[in-house]
Amino acid sequence: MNNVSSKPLKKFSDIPFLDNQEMEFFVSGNRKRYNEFIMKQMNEVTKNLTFVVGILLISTLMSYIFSYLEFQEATIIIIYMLGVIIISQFTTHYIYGFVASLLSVLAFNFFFTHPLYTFNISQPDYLFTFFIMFIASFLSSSLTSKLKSEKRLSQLKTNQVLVVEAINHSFQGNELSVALYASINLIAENYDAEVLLQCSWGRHDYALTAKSNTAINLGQVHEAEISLDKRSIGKLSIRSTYNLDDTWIQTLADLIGQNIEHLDLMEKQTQAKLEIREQKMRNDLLGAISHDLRTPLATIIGSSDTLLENLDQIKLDEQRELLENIKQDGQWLLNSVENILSFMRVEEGIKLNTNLESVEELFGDVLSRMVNRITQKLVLNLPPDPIYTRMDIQLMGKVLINLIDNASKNAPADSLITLRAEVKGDRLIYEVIDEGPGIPENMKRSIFERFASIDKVHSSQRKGLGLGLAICKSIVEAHGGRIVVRDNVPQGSNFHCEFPYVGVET
Amino acid sequence: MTKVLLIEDDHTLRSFMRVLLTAQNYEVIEATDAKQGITLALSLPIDVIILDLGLPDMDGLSVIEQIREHIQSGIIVVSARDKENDKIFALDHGADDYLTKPFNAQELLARIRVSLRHRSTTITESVESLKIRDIHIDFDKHLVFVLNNEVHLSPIEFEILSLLMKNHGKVLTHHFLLNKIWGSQALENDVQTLRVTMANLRRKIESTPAIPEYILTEIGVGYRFVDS
Repeated sequence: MNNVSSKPLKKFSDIPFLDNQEMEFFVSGNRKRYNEFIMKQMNEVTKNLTFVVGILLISTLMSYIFSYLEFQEATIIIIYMLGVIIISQFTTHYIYGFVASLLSVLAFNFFFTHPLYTFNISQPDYLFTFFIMFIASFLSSSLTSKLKSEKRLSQLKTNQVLVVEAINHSFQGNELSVALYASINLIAENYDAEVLLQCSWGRHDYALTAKSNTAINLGQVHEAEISLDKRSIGKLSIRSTYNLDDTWIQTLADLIGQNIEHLDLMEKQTQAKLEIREQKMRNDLLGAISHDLRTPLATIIGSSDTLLENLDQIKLDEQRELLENIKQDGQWLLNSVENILSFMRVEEGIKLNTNLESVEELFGDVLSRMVNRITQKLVLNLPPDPIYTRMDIQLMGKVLINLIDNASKNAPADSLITLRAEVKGDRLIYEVIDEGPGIPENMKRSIFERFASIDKVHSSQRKGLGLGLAICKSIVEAHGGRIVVRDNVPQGSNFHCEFPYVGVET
Repeated sequence: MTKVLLIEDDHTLRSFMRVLLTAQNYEVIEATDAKQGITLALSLPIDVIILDLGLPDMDGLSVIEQIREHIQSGIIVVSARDKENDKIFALDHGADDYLTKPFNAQELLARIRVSLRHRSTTITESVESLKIRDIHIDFDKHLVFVLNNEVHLSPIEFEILSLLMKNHGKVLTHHFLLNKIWGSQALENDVQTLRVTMANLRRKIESTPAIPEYILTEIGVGYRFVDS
């Protein structure tokens, strides 16, 4: 199939895929096909000649009947000429028309001119008759031949158009090596050919061959340069028994060149679009970070400043309230920073610090960190047998904390949040289940995108960066898992994570 | 009065700790870099040292090395999150406990309390038995009682529980535990064995093994027996 090599191949014999045993088979297989080809040719000739003789016999017979019915001599000539035209229509080469013209003149001479049954002629003007008859037959036969070849030519042209379309089509939406391979196979099939394509594009060198099942090791080799921007980037070689026009081969090569260029341009365009998108995301991110860091800082600076300026005037419980705000916003700021750092790590491409860890310990740690941070009741649901699995425990903890945090922001203050784990066959499952309003069907996928956020339930909560769930998704996927959100029955959401799990010897 | 040495270059952090510790009736001595810290540690009778691992002039581990050569006061290291290896290394080479920035007042005070307690009674001092909250361990008879019910532990489980309880409140790294129980032959993958043993131990003494009240996991670092 696809040989990508760095040196250009010069000849068909350079194709390095045959060892001695394969070579023998190739040749012997070849010989068989070669013999078949010759047999086919000979059969063709026999068929045509039989046809010629047949038609002439019929013409002679009909002429006999008409001469018996005492029709004019001209009629007989016309019958023979008709025979010749029929022969030209149905034989495969103009030579048969020529031979038929000759034989019909001779037959006419033999059977229908006096003296009968001899090649002698009684009147010299018969020679002239013979001559005209021959010319007329031959011209009309060659005209028929021409018509036929015109028809074949136009078929060929249609076929050419089809080949061009097919090659263009094979470049649509395919990567270069696939498109090239499809193209040369198309050419090989259409022309019973063996095709060799070499080209260098981008950082790759391509050397591809294709061979039709009906191709044989005969025929002329046609070559054409594939060029782009007046620069040669490769070569197209076709070996076929068909009588292929060199101009046509060049057209095919040029077509391939153009398509390669087009593919390249499309890629560059996609790349440019991607870069613009990335740029926009960076700007959005900067904006979001700026907001999310400055907002809690505003409270911290404002509250502490207020206390400093007015310490004597502010009542003790108000002082306490301001200080609480400072503490809370400090925690919020810490969260944002953690999320941003995780996000940055994600952008660099996460390198996991994986170790064999206990799921129980992970959950216990997450619980201890979250139980005082949220108003909801947090429960664990673990199977009786301990689960050990490979993971980056810091990042996985982050996932669970983000999910619980998210649940807390959206569920009623006194509802239940469940953190559960389960092994099902070769899958390890974590779930964070809340009793909140749930997530509408059309948002179930988009919430995992960056900067997505759902309308908050409590006005006391603040809208976040929207990175939390995106980070969860990245970390889960970096572990080879997937995360989806499902509806919890009767009420709420179930954030469901699934990972491949290999049982561990304990 | 108990003397606490703060070796911390960030002045607001120092400030909050000073205020907090002074309010708790500790005497606070401050150093703003490693050199100053070492000098003060070796020249004054310090009870507990709070050492930031991110000091500008010297790597925290070298500070520990130099201090430990001469004195036995408690050392609590402070570092940022994601610097797990620094913390673990410090703990295995002379530090007694750790704090991760940002930490709150309770955590700091708790660590100092534990450090002071363990410095006043050395670990090697033999104790017959120990009772912390509902767990009673008898070292002589090799018996363990939880809420007055006897619990059967394997020899290794008993060893681990003993270590944890004798060092109650203090973090014990994986490495420390492996070393003490399995000796210096312990390999990397024995951490898994330790985890499994810990899980089994929890099953026997905790009312809810998944939400431990006695043996806490310090993710990435080790384990701690909590006394309150």
